[in-house]
Amino acid sequence: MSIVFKISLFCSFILLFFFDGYSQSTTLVTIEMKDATLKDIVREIQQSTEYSFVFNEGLNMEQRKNICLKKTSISGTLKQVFDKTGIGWQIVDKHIILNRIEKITISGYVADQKSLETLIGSAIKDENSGLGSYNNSYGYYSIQVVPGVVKLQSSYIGYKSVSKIFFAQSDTIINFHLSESHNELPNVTVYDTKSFSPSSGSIELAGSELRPIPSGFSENDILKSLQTLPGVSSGAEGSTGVNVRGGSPDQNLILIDGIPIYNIGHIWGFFSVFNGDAIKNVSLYKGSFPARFGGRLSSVIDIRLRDGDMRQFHADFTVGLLTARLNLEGPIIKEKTSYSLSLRRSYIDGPLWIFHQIAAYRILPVIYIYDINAKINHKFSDKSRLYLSYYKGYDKLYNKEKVASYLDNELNSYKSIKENYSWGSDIISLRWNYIFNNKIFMNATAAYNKYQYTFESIKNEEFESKRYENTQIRKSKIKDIQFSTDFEYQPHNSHYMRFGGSFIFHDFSPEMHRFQTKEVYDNNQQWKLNYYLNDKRKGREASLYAEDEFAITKKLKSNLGTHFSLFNVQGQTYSALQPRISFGYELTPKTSLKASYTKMHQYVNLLSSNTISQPTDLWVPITKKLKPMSSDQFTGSLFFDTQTGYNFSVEGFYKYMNNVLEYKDDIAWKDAFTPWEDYVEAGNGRIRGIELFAKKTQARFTGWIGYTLSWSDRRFKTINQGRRFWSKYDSRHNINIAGTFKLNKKIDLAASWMYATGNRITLPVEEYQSLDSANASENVFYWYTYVSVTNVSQRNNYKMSDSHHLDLEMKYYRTPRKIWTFSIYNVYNHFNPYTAKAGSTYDSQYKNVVIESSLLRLVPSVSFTYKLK
Amino acid sequence: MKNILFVILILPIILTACSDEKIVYINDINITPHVVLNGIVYAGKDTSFFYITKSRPIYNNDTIWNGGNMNISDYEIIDNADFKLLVNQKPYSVEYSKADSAYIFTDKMDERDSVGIEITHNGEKIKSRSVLPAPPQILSVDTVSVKRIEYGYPRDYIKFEIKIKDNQGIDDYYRLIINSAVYNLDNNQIYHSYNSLDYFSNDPVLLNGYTGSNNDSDIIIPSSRYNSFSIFRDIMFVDKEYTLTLYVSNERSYYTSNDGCRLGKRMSIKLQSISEDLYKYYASLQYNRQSSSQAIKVYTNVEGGLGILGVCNEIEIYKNQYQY
Repeated sequence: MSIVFKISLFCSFILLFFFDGYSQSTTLVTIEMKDATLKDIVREIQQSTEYSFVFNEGLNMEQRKNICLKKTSISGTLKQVFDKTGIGWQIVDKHIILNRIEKITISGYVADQKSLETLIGSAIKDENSGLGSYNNSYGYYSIQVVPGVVKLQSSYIGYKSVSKIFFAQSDTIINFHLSESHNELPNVTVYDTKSFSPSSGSIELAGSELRPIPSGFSENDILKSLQTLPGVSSGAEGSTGVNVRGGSPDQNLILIDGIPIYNIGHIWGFFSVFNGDAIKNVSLYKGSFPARFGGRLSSVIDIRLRDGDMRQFHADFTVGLLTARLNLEGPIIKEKTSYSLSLRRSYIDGPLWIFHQIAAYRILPVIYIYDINAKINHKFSDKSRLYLSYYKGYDKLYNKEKVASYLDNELNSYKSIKENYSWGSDIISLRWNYIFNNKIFMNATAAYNKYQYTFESIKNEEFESKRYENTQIRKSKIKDIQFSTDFEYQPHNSHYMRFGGSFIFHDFSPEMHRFQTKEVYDNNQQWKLNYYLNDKRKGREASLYAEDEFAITKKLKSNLGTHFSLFNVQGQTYSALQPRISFGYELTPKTSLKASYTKMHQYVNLLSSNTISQPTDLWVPITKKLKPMSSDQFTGSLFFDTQTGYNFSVEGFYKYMNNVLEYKDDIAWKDAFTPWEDYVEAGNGRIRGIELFAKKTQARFTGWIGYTLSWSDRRFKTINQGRRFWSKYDSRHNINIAGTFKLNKKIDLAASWMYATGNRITLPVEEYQSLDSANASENVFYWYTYVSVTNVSQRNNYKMSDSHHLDLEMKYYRTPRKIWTFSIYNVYNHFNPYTAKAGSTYDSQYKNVVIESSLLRLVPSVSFTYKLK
Repeated sequence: MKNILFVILILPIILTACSDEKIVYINDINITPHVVLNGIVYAGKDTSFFYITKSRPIYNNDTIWNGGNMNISDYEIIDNADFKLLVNQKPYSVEYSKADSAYIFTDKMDERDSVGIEITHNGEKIKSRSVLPAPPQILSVDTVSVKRIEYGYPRDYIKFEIKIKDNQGIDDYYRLIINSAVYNLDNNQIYHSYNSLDYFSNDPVLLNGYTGSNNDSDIIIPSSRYNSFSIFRDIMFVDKEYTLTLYVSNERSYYTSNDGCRLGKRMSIKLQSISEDLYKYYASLQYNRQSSSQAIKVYTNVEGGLGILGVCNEIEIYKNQYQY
């Protein structure tokens, strides 16, 4: 490229910068040339008009064309001249810049200006063509533009948009740094990722603070936020369980930075294991599942944690009613390496411990929880980044007791009991992001993931010269080692391809028991009893996927993909090809119509007989006998975006599930000697419904209203005598209203109200004479002689009372560093049941009644946050 | 002031965040009643009782919960059923006894005899079948007196080690029956007895492999959540010998007689071989009563109806009677 040409390019860029937006004068061109080179035609136009051409010498201007135009506008002329020549043009004031039509790729990261924390789901728009794209889960974007003067705009809700105008002739890396906008409430914003993309049923929670919904005990709980979205319910009121579109809790693939987590609740689900302070972004997929996800039937909840501030150190701590939280983040090497550390621990065990020291007998066991989220993020270059993450969530409940008796000041007997219940997850992951070229992005992951439940009991007794020792340990464990690689390839703006694969080594130990008793007598004789049960199974899971999101026409877009998986267990290998198809059609610039079909397979199950998830629930693999669960889901939806901050959607869905598990009707064999698979049965399930969603995403008041109407049922060969029955997750109507309002600079208000039709539970409605009462003459004395036997004639035949509650929260910024949060859960103290059982009451006479139980009534709470820096 | 603020904030939380219950009154739920058959046939006994009743709705104004009163079990008795008893496919006659509210078969049945019952009542037909098992094989019963500390005090127990030999090639099911009673003697006649059943075990066979917590192990087995019917099976000792270990209370009763009668104590341990159906009935009945989260259907081997036709073969393995 000659110096003159470079200068002319530079000048044209300057001109463009200053004069962009000026309208072109109405110059008309008349030209007639036969078999002329483009160079000659350009020269002719230059001579007959006031325009001058700027172009690279590498352009093929020797192409020949016939041109015959009369009084044609300059743009019409250029269109005719350069049609099918591979040369593009741009008019900048009185200059016409010629370029190769081959597009170049602009790529880079979108990050927060202050912290360089990547902003997931940011929009990138090419202002020249009007085409747009979104960055991925790592903040990386890639977009094809016409070389020359490029105008890109990046935007992210809650942040000021940034436009960059630059000249580019080849693939270029451009990073965007956005700063927070203070004109709008910088709080959580819910928006559909890609409203006009073919994906349906996907919702993202993001923003500078993920805290829209008041939740009990002032905990910053992201799962409570998800429960306010249509199609998502808590299963049991007050718990953090997540049931999506009538599916069971184990049908949700919940990912922390891409790694599945098996336990999501602390203290039997009172609040989730996800510390809201550590979370950067949450995506929920419940309609069309992209092919990159697999292994669960109902939903994908993709939680991304904060990477850490690359520029400045920050610290804050929060003290709430149950827990205290500490967050630290900052650079290790400025703009190269950062860390993020979030700690949370309950402190209710402190007062309990003191109480136990004072009280003669222990009434309550001591319980505590904690979780740690730690992350180190190193940027080798613009092309290469490494993330090392660690998560630990832990619950412990313990009790210790010592009783000693003395005779004549001599120790006569001694007894000590120590009991521990503990459960929790450990996840370590190492991820490497590498950009091969501007079109190919890679994420490689290696991870270790463990969930374990342990019960341990140690008892020692001494009496005179006799000793008695008893040790019992029960465990349930699932351990995964995972390797995966994901690629993203964007050859054109109209194609966004993803492909990759993963391999997971699963170690399942659903039931492990160890039991040891030792007795030592006066004469040193010993008696011992040892018992072990160790049910261990290995599973190997491999998967490959490929998907392409592309535009079939300007208005019709699609995401086509397939997920292929293999699972090997007990020498049996199951394979599954899972197509994922979704289409989106732009009816008008504000309205789109979507349809999708998704096939999913699931290889692990959570065996749970309770209405709320318990840590003792068993994670089990599929077996030779029990085939993988699978589902086929069809969705159809209509989206309307006013483009003024209001969005509306209607989505209908139908899901058919195969091989879902339920406990059999008569669990006579439920003992530790019997494999768990003998007391479950596989059957099918249907879920259908419609979801309405309206939301407001801009200005001081933001919020949404959601309504779900759904039906969920199951059918098995023997359960319920083979008749179809309502699933325990069936809930006919769900309404959620949530809103946040910035009252003034010092006060933020938030409120939410929910209503849900009561869940279903099985209650007997028939009773009959027991064998014991009939056979009483046999002179067998027992404390509990059963007079009646209740007969369960239909499963899930009782619908519990409906639930509804109003929750309020006020955030008071006393100073920018001191923040008080006051919240009230269930303001009007409504009784919201989580379970029910048959019982009796006396009201002038005995009556058989149903007794419903609730976990939480009105819960006022307060927390205080202090930002150290 | 700070303390008051603390109380104002904390107290409502503690009071309101606790779990709560609500009573829901249910109007009449009518059901189609089932014919219910209950009965156990003991090998070697010369009388067998069979009870036929009708099931009833739970949620009905006419149905009163027993409220702890064991006598209110007034199920509608069916005394006019067409009752067919088949022993080894051969029909036998049964008599209905109004006093016992039962159909009575007065003949002996032995191990491996097949018992079949077919009942017709108002056009409804139910049937059931079972085969009498072989008696349990006991090789030895060893006892030793031991003391255990309970609530800081030593208590007397007899430790039993019962050696069982499993029957070859078949699945065996057992039930342990322990009767322990303090009685008054008047002219060597027992006129009043007080039953007690304090026995515990840490044996995984008796606890169905669920070892429970240490506190559970102090609870007497018949009221434990692991095995209230004291049933077990041979899955831990298929075709082998096994020594079952349990502890039975041998506490001297603090009961004092008013009339100067002599006090005594008797203890007996019986082991029954029971049918698989009966084992399943007891096991599912236990879960049915103890499951707080899920209603369990109780096993039945009565086709077209409800209840259980159980069979068993019982032997006494320990007996002791003594006076204080």
